Amino acid sequence: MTMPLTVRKRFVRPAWLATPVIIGMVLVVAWILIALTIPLWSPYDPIASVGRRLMAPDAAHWFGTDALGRDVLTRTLWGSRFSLAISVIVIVSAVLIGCTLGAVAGYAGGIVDSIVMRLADITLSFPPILLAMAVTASLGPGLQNAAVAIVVVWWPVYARLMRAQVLSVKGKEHVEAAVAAGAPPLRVLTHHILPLSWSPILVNATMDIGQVVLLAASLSFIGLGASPPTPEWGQMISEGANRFYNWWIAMGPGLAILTIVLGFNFIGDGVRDWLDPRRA
Amino acid sequence: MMSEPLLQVSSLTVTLPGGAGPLHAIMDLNFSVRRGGTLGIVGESGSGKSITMLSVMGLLPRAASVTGSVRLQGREILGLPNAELARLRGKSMAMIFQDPLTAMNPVLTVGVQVTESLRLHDRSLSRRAAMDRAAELLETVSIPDPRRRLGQYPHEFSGGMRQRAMIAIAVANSPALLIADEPTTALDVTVQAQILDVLQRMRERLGLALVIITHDLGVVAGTADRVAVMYSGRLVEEGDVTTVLAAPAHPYTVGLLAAVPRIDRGNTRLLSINGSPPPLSNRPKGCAFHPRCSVAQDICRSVTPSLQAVGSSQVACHFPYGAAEASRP
Amino acid sequence: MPFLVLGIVTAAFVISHSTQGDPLVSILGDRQMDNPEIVAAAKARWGLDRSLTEQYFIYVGNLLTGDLGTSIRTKQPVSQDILTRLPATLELVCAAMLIGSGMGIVLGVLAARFRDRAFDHFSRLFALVGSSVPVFWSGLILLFVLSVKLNWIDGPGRLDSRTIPPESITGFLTIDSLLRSDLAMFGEALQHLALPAFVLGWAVTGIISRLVRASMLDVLSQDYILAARARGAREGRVFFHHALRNALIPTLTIIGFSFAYLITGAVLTETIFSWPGIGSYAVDAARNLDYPAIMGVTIVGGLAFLFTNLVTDVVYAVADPRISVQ
Repeated sequence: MTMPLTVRKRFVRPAWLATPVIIGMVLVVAWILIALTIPLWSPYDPIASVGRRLMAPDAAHWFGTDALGRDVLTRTLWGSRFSLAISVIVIVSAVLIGCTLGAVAGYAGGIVDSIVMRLADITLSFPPILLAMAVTASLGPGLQNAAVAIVVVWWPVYARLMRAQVLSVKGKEHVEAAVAAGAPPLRVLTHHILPLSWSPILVNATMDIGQVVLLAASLSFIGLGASPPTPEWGQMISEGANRFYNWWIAMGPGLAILTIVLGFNFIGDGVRDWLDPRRA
Repeated sequence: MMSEPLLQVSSLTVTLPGGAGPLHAIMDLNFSVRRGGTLGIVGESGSGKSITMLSVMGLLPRAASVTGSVRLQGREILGLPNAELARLRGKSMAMIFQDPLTAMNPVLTVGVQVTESLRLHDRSLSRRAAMDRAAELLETVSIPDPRRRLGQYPHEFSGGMRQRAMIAIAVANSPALLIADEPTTALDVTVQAQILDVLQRMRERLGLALVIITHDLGVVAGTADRVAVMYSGRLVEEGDVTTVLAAPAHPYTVGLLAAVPRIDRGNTRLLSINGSPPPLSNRPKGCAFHPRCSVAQDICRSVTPSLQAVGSSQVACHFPYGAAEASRP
Repeated sequence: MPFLVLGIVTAAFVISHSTQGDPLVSILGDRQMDNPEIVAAAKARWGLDRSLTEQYFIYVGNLLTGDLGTSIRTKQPVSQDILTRLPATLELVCAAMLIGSGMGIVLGVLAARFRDRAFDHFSRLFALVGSSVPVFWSGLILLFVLSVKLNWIDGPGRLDSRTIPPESITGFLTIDSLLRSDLAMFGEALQHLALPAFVLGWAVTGIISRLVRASMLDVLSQDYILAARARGAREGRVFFHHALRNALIPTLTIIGFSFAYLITGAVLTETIFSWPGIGSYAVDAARNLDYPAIMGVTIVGGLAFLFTNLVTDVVYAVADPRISVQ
């Protein structure tokens, strides 16, 4: 056998990094960068009047100005901070709550399992937006309460996932060995079960962020989320809907929601292809 | 003068696209099937026996490149346009598959699938006449109560009954060639013999030629008159079934035979061939069988043996059994 | 199933009674809250003077007779409000479901047929954009472009604002006008329905077309497809007669499942298109903290969701011969 003298390292694209995933990641990373750095390079003040009212897009205001003379582009860029923050917080909370309940239900079984899973069933039997609206209205309108409402709607997804994971891992030999050796339940859960269960949860959570962005913006659009003058996208589109003929007011935030959710959906679609190769 | 064989396959080579480059699934394959004869194609999974017959049927995915020649009833059918091939499939040549559970469409009744085979090749046949004919067909493959059975879905059939129905579909238009791809592998042992029996009866009654693809030499011994042994995309031994089974010449055939349980040999230990067949992407140089061969020499590792007559058989081996024994180490 | 129904009702009750704000404020307004007599009278009238358990059993008891309480905002029985508005939503959702599953199936089948070719990529993009675009924005933009800029369609609403809505037969304006052989009315209703139904249907096209494509590819790799080809079936027949039927069975589930998306979308689409259905009713109720109405809509939504799942299961069992209907 002759060995080549120099081994050239060639970048081999991993299977999960398909073109749709790359497109999605570009969109999402771009928005994350905007959200993190916008205070440094913001074109205008997002909540101050910086020009004449209701001006169509021009060189000074690429996306025009709204009814109070605020720059729509600036507000759109700042809006990413609210949308991304609320979505990440909501997903992290839903994952923590859902996974804890699901893990406990799956591990304990019996009556605990029944109660948690029936609660999940009931929650999932509502159309998400109606339940979220009812909860938000009950807690009182506002961005925080809207976030709480979305967590209420979303936790059962992860509870079910986590429970299924725990049940499938529970029967594995090393877990049974740990139980037999007298390891306390919490230790079995954190040391032996969780390390094997987190990856599908993570994949699902990533793919769900886009849906949460949409739901949060919807609640704000209805008037149950962010309130003026917050530059939140749903709230801005709602202002645009009231000024129907000044189409540009809604254009910026709409494109923003579209691109960020599209980014997450591209990632999700690509990852699903990878997880289920029959699809690809 | 010898009459032309029903099926003549010459220099058949099949290349499949693969992630790391093209895979040579079949290389330079030659064999023939005479009218009314039965050929058993034997080999482990991955030896290319199914791909061979799928390429005869023209059923390989479009991405596969097939070269060489396939002549059916004297007519070249390799490279025919798909519409022409569709006319031949089910009419002149038919095929049944390993798993009758997955080979029948679960949402169509058995009747629909049997009559489809009839009506695809005879547009003038009415629905009712096709149903009558389908019932007769089920009867000939020994399915009781055929009228009622035609209205049922495949999942209401047992495995053996399903395979009988598949045979009925395949022989609906009395094809000249019937290819059976592992027809008994997925079935219970008790049912296997019945299915082979049905196949033999069809061969006799309709005068069709049978190609049975199998990894089971027992099936070949019971049904075939000729046998072709394939290994890693090549033919390694081909000949009359009694000769090959009684005096195999290729070490691989010897190994396969030693792995067959036999009642007449008493309670001897079953032998198996060491190792497993090479992947298509990493076929050894020379004779592909050499890493598993007990008599391999240096030449086996560098030169691919070609088919040569040994007695009445053809063998692709540098050191075949039954040839000059003295030359063996 | 009965358990879930009770669960839905209880959950709706708990949510609406765990409210932070005092529902009396939304009934009476701030000024009258200072008058103890009015407050007491209102409490008695709305049953707020009883204990929570009592209120719960009264509510459940009333529900059994179809009484969802009285809307604070419209002063009408919630059940009546919902019934008058239900047909508009159903018409919209049905039309959207037709458009969404129609586009989804066609796109999915063609994407599987032309896998990895230009059409496949286009169909993926179209589907993903559909499930990413907020309907309350796409509706707004399309309405502006088509009605203001191009003047192709009339504005929002179920009918032209000058048209007097006809007496309801089914409540579906398209069907009612056909029943009356009023083609002008039918055209008008259809024209008003088309855009919101498209906007809403596009949102579910994605999940349907991606699933159809996946199950089509799965089915096409099955042995029975090979077997169909082996008996001489041509490509067209293999594709439509053998593959599509099998691929559509799992699709039925997702079409039922997409109902949840359609309801969500309907709430927002109705708001944009001034569509007098349950969705816009729910939004008005939520904005005005009209708890009986919110509770009613939530319960009806949950029950409708359950019902759709049941229908999906039944249709699935009928479509798939391997499942016997019991």
